[in-house]
Amino acid sequence: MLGEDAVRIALTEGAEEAEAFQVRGRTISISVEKGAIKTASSIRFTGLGVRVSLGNKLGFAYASNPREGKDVGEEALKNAKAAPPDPDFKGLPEPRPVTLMEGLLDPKIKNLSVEEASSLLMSAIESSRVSPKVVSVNGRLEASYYEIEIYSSKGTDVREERTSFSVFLEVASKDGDRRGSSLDFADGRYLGHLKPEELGRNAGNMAIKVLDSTTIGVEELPVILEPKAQVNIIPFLVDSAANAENIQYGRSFLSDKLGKEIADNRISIVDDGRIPWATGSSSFDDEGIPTRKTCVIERGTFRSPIYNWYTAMKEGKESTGNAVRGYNKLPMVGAHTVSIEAPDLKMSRGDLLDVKRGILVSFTFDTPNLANGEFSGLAETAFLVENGEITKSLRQTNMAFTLMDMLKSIDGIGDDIITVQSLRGGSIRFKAKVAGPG
Amino acid sequence: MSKQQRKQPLRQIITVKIALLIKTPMELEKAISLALDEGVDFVEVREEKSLHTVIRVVDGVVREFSSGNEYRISVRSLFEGGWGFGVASSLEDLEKAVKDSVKLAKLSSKWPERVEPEWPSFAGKFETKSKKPPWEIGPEEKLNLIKEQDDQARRYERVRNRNVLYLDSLRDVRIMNSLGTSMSQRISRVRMSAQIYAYESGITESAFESKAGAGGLEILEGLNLGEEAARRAIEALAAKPSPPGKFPSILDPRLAGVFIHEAFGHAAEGDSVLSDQSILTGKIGQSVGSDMVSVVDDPTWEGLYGSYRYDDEGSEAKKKYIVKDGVLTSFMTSLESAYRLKTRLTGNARSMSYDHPPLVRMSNTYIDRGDWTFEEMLSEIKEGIYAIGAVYGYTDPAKGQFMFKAEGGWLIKDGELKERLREVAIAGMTLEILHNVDAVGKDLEMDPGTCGKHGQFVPVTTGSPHIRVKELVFGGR
Repeated sequence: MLGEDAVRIALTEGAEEAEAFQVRGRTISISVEKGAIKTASSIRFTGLGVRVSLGNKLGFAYASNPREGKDVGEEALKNAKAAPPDPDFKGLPEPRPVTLMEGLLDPKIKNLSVEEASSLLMSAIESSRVSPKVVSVNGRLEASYYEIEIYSSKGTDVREERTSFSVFLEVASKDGDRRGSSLDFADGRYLGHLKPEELGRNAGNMAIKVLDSTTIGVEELPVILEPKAQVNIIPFLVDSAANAENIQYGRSFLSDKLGKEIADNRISIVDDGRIPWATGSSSFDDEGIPTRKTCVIERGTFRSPIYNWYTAMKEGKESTGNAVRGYNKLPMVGAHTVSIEAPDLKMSRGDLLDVKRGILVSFTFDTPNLANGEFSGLAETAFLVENGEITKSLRQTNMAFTLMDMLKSIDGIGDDIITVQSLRGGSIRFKAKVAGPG
Repeated sequence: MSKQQRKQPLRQIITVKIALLIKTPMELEKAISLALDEGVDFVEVREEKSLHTVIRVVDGVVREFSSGNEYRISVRSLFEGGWGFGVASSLEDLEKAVKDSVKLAKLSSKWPERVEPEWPSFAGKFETKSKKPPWEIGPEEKLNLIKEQDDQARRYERVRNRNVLYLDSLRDVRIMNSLGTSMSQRISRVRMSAQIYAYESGITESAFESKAGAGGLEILEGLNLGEEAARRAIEALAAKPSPPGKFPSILDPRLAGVFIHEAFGHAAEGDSVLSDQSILTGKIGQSVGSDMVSVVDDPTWEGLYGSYRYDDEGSEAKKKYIVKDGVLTSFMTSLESAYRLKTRLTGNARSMSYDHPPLVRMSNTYIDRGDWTFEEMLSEIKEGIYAIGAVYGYTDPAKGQFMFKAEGGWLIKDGELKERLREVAIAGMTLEILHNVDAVGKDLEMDPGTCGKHGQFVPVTTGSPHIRVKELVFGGR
């Protein structure tokens, strides 16, 4: 109703087109400090964002918890009047037929109580105490149920209920003067996929393993990135580098590479918005356009960017259903779930680790440089691999490579496949320059 | 709001909206009484209204012209050491938010350590000074300021893409608690940034410049963000990858500011210390660095992006030395962390917005000035790296490891800047790094930024003079 009111008032007062994006829901958050629940919260929220156009002038306004849609519609119209024209703005999205998909709404999350959420998090926390050397465990769990509704004067009228959860653990360890720490995280739309004990045990074991550490100097080594170390690297190839806006404006290192070979021809990279229970999945994107699977790199060749409505119209193409936004933002372009498809490179984790000398990276939080496609970052949680065995953890170790070199030199993809954040995939192995203090 | 009010000029509309916020202390007092009747040890009510403007211009075209407003009241209750947090979207559902917060606090109260709310209370009112309050200024003047920056970059032939972003926000907060705190604060912040991409012969590089502060549009006048970002992006086109490994380094003020924020600031946040997630736990009074290093966190510095008078628990903000002459002197604290660490309250509890409980956060954090000049530092390096500009950084305070990313750099040979270098990651260990600082410059500069922790992002300033570090590990190729 709020959205429809906003659209109606904007049109009555002179707008040519109007669109309302509304989100309404509830989030439960539990945070644990030193092994016990410290803060619990339960928040209901409503947000409304309205786009209004006057010819090729676009205005946007939003409000949290508006009592009525009217003010937001009027404010958006006021902004459209004040905005200078944008020659590339060809109007708000035309509706497209949407097929609703399964695997987005978990009734267990929808009806979750704070007590149930707490007990899930506590079971992860308890499981992380794998040794007396674990000195402190902190953690957070968030579970949300929400409904997205998009309504426009062009005829878009879609709504969908979705759920999501995320868990994050931090474990600190101590052995005499040696200090260590680790973390682990998981997310998704279906709570049954969360294995709290396993998550806790992994984080605990890792925090103990990192106590025994060493440093290395400068070497060119096989680097094995576990899936959770890839979350800011592999999805980046699609989300940022193959993002139509970045391509069109010439910001991306892939800007002039469409149709060219940019990866080993055994490698394809796809973005899929319709994987059941993946955090990045939905039946329609944030402009109401149906989601789909887009092949971004096909057998080594850069085949297609991902588009929202604006960037697609600019090139006279169809949106790939990759509009992403919050109620308080205009739609941008973003990936759903990105995976590497390379059956020829598939191998067991054991085979992947079977190198004379290399490093195994469990986590890094660095992102590549969009303009030049180079990655330089800290191997935040990493281990030395010697003769196929994981030996010691590494301190202060950086790694550097270009994304194009990485895509051409990946020589193995593990069968340890998981779905986390915008990534679905197993560990990958390639060569990179590794630099530590020696 | 009635139709008549809506038709008034913009300035008066805002006044009406703000009046909604400050007319309600009685309702907040009732909420406090209600929570106390339910038996909690402490309760705090935070009413918050904020207004935002975003204008984004790409290659001279306005791609985004938006405005927003947000309003909520949050209630935080403490019961036997555990906190509960509820949020009301209007005064009508405040009672429900109070009950939620009490119930949730009781659920959290299995926490083993009791927290006695033996805290001071604060009363007062604060408003940032703005010569040109953004909400009193029409879109034309804002668009002109943006155009000025865009034009500066447009003049350069090799510039391929120009992005200028303008943001302003007005945040009105009233906080009352069961100990008698009753304060209100209005902070206006403005920010402008330029991200410029340059291109030549198949190579693309970018550079970023921003200016921000607490105050009005006067902060954004006479800037050269477009010019400076364009110049550096073009300069980077000829850059080579940084060499990998250990090098003596000079960090420019902007990078050194991010360095001190990541390397040290986070580890000195009281909540990290308490949760055994900081390598600085138990180290107050000990030497943590060279005696030429002093580190300050000062929310009271007028006009900076991370400035405020009262924090988001209503406590008065304090300037403090975290490190004085190389010795760890203070942690940053909130009400609870000050109590549990048995140390002074520094007013560092900050929240991103109404739907987040406050955490211990930095404000304007900087390395205090020393007495070196840049030329003196440079002349003594035989082979090293001068790293410039900051992209981002992060830290793992429990392990004591951090990284920060330089936008670029220069290779130093025999005391001279020889070759321009590309973006590079730099790693270090918190407890070693400040001992390795062997020169601190005179040229303190402050730079605005945004800091994220546990999913909450708040405006901060990082600052430093040029500093020289005996060795840092560069992630080059």
